[in-house]
Amino acid sequence: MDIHLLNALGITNCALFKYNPEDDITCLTPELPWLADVVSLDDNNKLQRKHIPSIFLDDFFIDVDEVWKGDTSFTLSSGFWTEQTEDEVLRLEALAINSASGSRYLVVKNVEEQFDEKQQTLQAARELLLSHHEIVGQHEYIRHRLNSVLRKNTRLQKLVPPIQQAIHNIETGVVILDSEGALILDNKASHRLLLCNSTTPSSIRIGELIEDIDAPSTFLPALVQRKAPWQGEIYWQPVDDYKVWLQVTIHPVLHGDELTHWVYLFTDITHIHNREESVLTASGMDSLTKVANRNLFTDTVRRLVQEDTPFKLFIIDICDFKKINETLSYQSGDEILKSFALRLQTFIGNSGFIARIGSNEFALVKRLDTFTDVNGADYVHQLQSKVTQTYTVLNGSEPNLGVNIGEASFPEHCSSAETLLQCADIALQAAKYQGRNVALVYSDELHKQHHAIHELETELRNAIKNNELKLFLQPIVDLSSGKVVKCEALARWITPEGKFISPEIFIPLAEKSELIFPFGEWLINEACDAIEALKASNLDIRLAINISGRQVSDLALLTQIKNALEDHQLPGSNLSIELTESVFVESLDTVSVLLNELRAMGITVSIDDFGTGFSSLVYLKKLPIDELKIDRSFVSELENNTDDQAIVQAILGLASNLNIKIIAEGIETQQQQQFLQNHHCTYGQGYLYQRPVEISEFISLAQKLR
Amino acid sequence: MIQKKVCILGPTGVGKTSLVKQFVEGIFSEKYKTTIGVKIDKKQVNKEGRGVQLLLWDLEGIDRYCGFNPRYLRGASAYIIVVDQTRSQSLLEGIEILDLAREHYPDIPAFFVVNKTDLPTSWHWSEEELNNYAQRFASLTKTSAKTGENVEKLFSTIAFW
Repeated sequence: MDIHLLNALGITNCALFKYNPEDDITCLTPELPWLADVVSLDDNNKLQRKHIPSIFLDDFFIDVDEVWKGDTSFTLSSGFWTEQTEDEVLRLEALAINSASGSRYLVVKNVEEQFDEKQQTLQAARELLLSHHEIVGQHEYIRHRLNSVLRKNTRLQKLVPPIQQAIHNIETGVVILDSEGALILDNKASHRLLLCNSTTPSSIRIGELIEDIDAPSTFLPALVQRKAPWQGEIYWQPVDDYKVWLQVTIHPVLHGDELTHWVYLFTDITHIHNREESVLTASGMDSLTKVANRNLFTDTVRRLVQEDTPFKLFIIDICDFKKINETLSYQSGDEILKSFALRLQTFIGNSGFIARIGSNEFALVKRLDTFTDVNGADYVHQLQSKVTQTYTVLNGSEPNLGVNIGEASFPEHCSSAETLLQCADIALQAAKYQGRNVALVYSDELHKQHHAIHELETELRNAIKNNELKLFLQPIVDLSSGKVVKCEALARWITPEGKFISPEIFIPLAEKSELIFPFGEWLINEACDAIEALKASNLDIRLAINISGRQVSDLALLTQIKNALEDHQLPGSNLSIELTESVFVESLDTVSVLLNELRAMGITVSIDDFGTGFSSLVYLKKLPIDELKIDRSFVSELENNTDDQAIVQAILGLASNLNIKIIAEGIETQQQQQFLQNHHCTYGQGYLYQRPVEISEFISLAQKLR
Repeated sequence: MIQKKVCILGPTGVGKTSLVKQFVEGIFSEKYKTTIGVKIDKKQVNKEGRGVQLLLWDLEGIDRYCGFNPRYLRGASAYIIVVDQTRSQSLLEGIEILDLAREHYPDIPAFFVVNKTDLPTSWHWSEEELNNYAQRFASLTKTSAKTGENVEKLFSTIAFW
């Protein structure tokens, strides 16, 4: 539609100028009433560069010339400015445009409506910001005053009345404790904010508050050591019907190096938080991290696409964030997200735009012409290293994050904002599939892989739901007696069309998607069914199931195992679980809790594929481990490979000293069995005894071996 | 006549617009109205028969909603960083803004303004701490946009620096 018509209809209110190679600039919309306040035109509607009434626009022409000189398609905004004339106030924004077709334009927009809207939003947001600063300032003031009074070497009886009088009616909750935590004095506001009553004085409530925020035992001593106060915002819900955001100051009062008092200050800032959240959401901001939210980000991507500006889009996913929330607390998780956003913002500065587009997903757009000194790969590498540096949170933990990044470019990969986001997401999913700290650029190949994986995932989901997977059992025999003492449960998948899908394909697929959780639940229940069937045939042996690292991190696992055993009325002593060493790399503490609980239920624990991965042996001493399974790769060439012989002997010696039993996997020959027997290996598993078979076949074989 | 571009920078709500308004129009409003973008005012300053026209670029407060845009400082003869003596946080933010400006324009003189002297000082910074920070600037001026205290003096100093 014609710009004149759009202006006449009031749809737009902008002046359009076209730059001609002869070095003149023609105004295509000279009729606008406000234009003369901003530019001067000659009789032919040519802009007079040497006489531009607007100082701001005159200055912006330095940037306009740069944009017009360039070879690439590009749009630069001046930002909003105000032009005050004798009888009116104009709110304006200028755009310098170098279009893909090679045309150069300048647009001066009258943005009164957007200006008012922005001013209204930011007015509210900044008033809240100032209110919050005021509260922090009040805390600072009270803290300094109390500190100076309490440090006077005066008897307590003389100190208390004047302080009591000063704090009695103030809105800030004040609690002063002695160095041992006993209450010296407090005020009405602290009673109200901390829900104190005759049985629960403020000193007790403060203890509860510190405990609720998950602060470590070193938190308060560290303040004394640093001789520094702590200030922060705390969300507190001591009882169901009372939840509050508190601005908190904790100040150790010291006389020399000696702690004499604790000063606690509290102010209710719930109203600020609530209003801020609604103001921020309305203005397209994420209320936690204060960066743009998904809506604003999508709008920004759409705008860049409309402007035909080449750019790169990155989606950044923080790995295993659920685990951080669960192991460190949600408050720590929030702290990390805030720091993460800040680091990202600092890293990109003014050269890009970031947003939080999911609970643990951030996105970044950056124009191609702003990648100056480094290529894209270096940029991603620097980005990764910046955001994965160690974080420190309130409870003293120092988690190391992993991030996966998916990257797509406009217009190289797609031509719309929505498809570009999908492309970056496909690259991200592929990166996540490959592991931790992987960054991938979208390609057609990734697209095909993504579709193939997606289809297989759907089939696997249905297979789990429709109970199409089958449980096979493989015996584990006592090498000295040859008797079956245990068995390992292995899942097999034959599709309704009769196609066999290898566990080497579907197990990693499940592990890398959310399917590992329903699959794990299916496996536990099937394993219990199998134990029942074995018992019914008088085979009272343990059955081992494999548990993946992601299941170990899931708090639901323990409940699932307990429930399944209870439902089948089975003791834990019938079950054994197998974990790989890699589980210990990131979550030794979580695993330790889980294994001790399992041990308490009578379930034994084996380490699968021992010797192939994470080789720190610390966990052997720390964790309740019953058996090690020597990986098949060490057994397969045992007859001839002296290195393998040495490794197996070393593992057997180590296990013997630690009183741990050994299962050798992948035994296929008599010679292998003989070597293992000669070196006192306890148990064996492999095709020499039986390949994995269906339960009925396993039962008849086991009965024969007995 | 000589023209000098002077940018007014600082955190939100410290009184940047009020200082300009007091200097240019001689008025003060208690009502806080946040600045969006940029507004340029002009005023001539005379001293000993010489005149300098100041172009005062009043910039939106720098905070979590509005980043620092170095482009606005281009061609400036000086910039002012305003902080509010009733808010401790504003001093820390002001120093961060100084670092950002220095990074892009290390040679432009920076003037430090502690505003709102009509109100009681309620920040905890001591004079010594304040003077330490002030050493990084060309000068320190304590002003009140409300009463006009030191406002003329500030801009006159900058005009003839």
